[in-house]
Amino acid sequence: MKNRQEIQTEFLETCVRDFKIFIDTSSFLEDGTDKFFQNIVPILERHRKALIVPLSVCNELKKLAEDPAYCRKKYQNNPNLNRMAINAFKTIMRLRNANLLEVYGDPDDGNFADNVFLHVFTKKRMQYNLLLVTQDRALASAAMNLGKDTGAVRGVKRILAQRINRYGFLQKIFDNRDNQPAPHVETVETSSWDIPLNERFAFAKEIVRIEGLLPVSSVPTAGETVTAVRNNDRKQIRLLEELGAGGEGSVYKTNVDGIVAKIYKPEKITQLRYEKIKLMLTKDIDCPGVCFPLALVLNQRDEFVGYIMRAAKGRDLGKSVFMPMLLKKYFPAWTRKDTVRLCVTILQKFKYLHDRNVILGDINPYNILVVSPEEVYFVDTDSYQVEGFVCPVGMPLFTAPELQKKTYGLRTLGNENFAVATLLFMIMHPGKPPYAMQDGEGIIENIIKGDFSYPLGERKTGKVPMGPWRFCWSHLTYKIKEAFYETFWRDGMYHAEKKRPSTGHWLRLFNDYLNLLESGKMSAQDEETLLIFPTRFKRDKNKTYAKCKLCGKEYDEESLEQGICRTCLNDGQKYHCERCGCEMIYTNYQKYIRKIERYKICRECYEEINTICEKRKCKDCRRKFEITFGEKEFYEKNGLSLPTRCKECREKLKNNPKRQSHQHIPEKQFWKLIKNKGY
Amino acid sequence: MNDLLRKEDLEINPTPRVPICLCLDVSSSMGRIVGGDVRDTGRREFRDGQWWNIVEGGVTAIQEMIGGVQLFYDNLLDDDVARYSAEVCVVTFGGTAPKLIIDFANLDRQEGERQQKISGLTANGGTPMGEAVNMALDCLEARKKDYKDKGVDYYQPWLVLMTDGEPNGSASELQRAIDRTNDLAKVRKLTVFPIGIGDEADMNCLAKFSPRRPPLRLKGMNFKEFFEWLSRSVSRTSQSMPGDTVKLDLDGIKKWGEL
Repeated sequence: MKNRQEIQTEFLETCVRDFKIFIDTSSFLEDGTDKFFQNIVPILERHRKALIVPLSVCNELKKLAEDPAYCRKKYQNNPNLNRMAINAFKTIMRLRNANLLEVYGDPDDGNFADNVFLHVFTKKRMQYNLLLVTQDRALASAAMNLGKDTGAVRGVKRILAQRINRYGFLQKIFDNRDNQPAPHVETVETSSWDIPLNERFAFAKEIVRIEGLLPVSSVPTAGETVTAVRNNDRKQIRLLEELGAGGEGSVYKTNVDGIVAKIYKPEKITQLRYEKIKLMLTKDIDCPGVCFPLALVLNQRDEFVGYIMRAAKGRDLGKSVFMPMLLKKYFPAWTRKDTVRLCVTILQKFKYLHDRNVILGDINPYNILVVSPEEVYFVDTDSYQVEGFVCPVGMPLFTAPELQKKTYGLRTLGNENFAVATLLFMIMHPGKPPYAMQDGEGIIENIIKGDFSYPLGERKTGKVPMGPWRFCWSHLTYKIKEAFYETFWRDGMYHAEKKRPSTGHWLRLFNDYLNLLESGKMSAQDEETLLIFPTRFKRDKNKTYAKCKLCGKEYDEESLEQGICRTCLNDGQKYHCERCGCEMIYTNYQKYIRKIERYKICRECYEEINTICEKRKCKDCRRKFEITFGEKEFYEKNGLSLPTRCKECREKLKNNPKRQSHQHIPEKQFWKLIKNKGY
Repeated sequence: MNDLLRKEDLEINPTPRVPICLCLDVSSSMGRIVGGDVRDTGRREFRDGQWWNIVEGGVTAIQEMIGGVQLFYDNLLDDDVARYSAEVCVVTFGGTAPKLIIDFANLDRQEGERQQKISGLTANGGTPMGEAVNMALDCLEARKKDYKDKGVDYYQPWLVLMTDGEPNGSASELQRAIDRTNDLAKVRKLTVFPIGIGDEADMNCLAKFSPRRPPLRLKGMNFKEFFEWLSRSVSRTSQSMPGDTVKLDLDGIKKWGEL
């Protein structure tokens, strides 16, 4: 048996051999640090490998070593910090001189070591197995997530995070997978730091406000030649036919294949717009399907009139997927796999933009065009929020509660993530907004109140809109339902602006869902899994199902009554009331369960004929008796006058021929009567 | 329409609805000749408050209106979104009482009956406008309740009121209709389009129905232009989202209306 130390040394050896090892500031300031170097240096020498320390970590250690005041300010509770930092800095220098340690520096990386690690890891994860040595759980979790994130991409190597223990060996930071303190929901795209600066916009601090129109001598139209300008490149292009016109201007085809030009109306050519498009062109935003500005368009006098972009194709979501009849018409072969795939495609683009600090602002079904689940185009990109240039418009339906009934200013990712969740919901419940419900006050009020009606487990309001929506919901994965529920419900864990799931989080959930659907695991359990509009709730593993005798659909056995489902029990044969002619229904419940004949008259009529119409005194017994509307109707219909005796006396009279003698009896009968009685 | 279909319409279609009630004058005066070749019969009759020359041939105001309403339906059906979003009901006033000609439903559903029912409208009797507006408001209320009960999203309803004369129904009903319309319109729960037809339309009375914008008089018999504009407005609204403010195409009004 190997002892513990041998096993740990062996692990260290494996790490050195197979991984690029990065060391974080925190691991230089541990009690076990010195021992760690004692253990690892011989191995490094043997394999001729070097540890990697980012320049920012060196700088931080140097600062801590040189400035005791900084130490006190930064880590108040550790009196030995300064001494440890001096020691650590010396170690780095010594190892570096021995070529056992490499200081990795990139002035673009910024000063914050955590970001450097994540940045470097993202860049290098395709090439090397990476090991991060840190004592910082949050950083470790972020690094490990990078590994998970791209699990589906082939060729990604392993990413590990370990800490130094007091014996100077490496140890797992998290005991096991379940205890990982990875944030349940990632609200910020940590990996946005992966994005090179030439693609990433700065964070916005203040709204840019520039007033005024730009002078324009003429706005070009079809057939005219204009100049496309980006940086120092100029190219003459010709505007061909107009493809469409809107409130801001017109879009033209150009003589460059696949490129269209948006030319603004003169009253829309403002200084603000000009500055915004110029800023948009400073970064390389290049994502298939996102029709982002590619170059300014100048007229023949070199005045700004618009921009060029890639041409979009397809039908907007609002006029396809969001209307079930049109969804059927334009995408007749779609199944749930396709709607989930569509979510993934859209999310990838959202994430691309969010990672680069581009906020779409006005997310809505009319500026997303669909060709197929994999081919989607984003248009109206000039309204996107970049840095201080806001997106001045938005649809209330997609607007987060905190922004409702306000003018749109700078939006946060949190604001935007509400719109993202709403859009996803409306793709999975084709066209149905998350806050539509029975008996609601109106969607905007429901958004403000966080009044969400779909259920999660035992939590429910019972106000889910009528129709197939509850079934669409039921068939989602639990994790997706949970994410929607916690985002939309007022007391949900992710309801607050900063807590809403990010596009990266949603992307993982929808990718998982897609994998489940494609693997066939879900359809094996329930054949309605793939329907965009299922006809019943998702089958529960713990329940037995039986088919309804009448409609043949499957239901939870316990909900059936004598083999008939509730819908069928309430349904039945239609006929008309014999008295008033109104429509009546002979329910299957009456027919099969209660086994009663169908009523001849409706309830209202039944009640009416049993209402008392008048009270009389009986001629014989002098007691009071009642006549109902029904009786009155009967007598009138048969041309009889209303009775003068009560029911009992009438009966007596019928059975007592003596009394009958008071009545007039025809002669023939009279004699017969006499004979019979033996007179 | 049977209840089951009505229910299905509401539940399966998630598109926010634009309920529109056309409240149309079909009193005798709408039978006036407004174009075409006519031949005078020499007879005169007293109807709907005035004397009329009886003629043969020609095109009547009501025929023009019927053409406009049919066009309105056709345009909505041609528009992918409006087709599933707009819901139209038609109330007429003539004779002695208003009539509900077509009740609310998805447009597709109404196709069977609407051709025949709209074409079959005839001009006759008085102008019980108050009664008709009350009936229209009742229909709109009922439809809104349906929407709420089922969890269907909707825009605030539209009421199109067209007349060529002055109301001669019950004065109290008229006042009640005016009050109800005003209460709703003031809180933006109803958009009213009061339209006068011809010179004898009582514009003062129409104005009472519309606290937010003045009534318009149809230019000549430009029913087609009006209904085309109306269907375009419905299309625009149906492509916005409930709660958005939709600006009406004011320039377009010039083609058919004047103050």
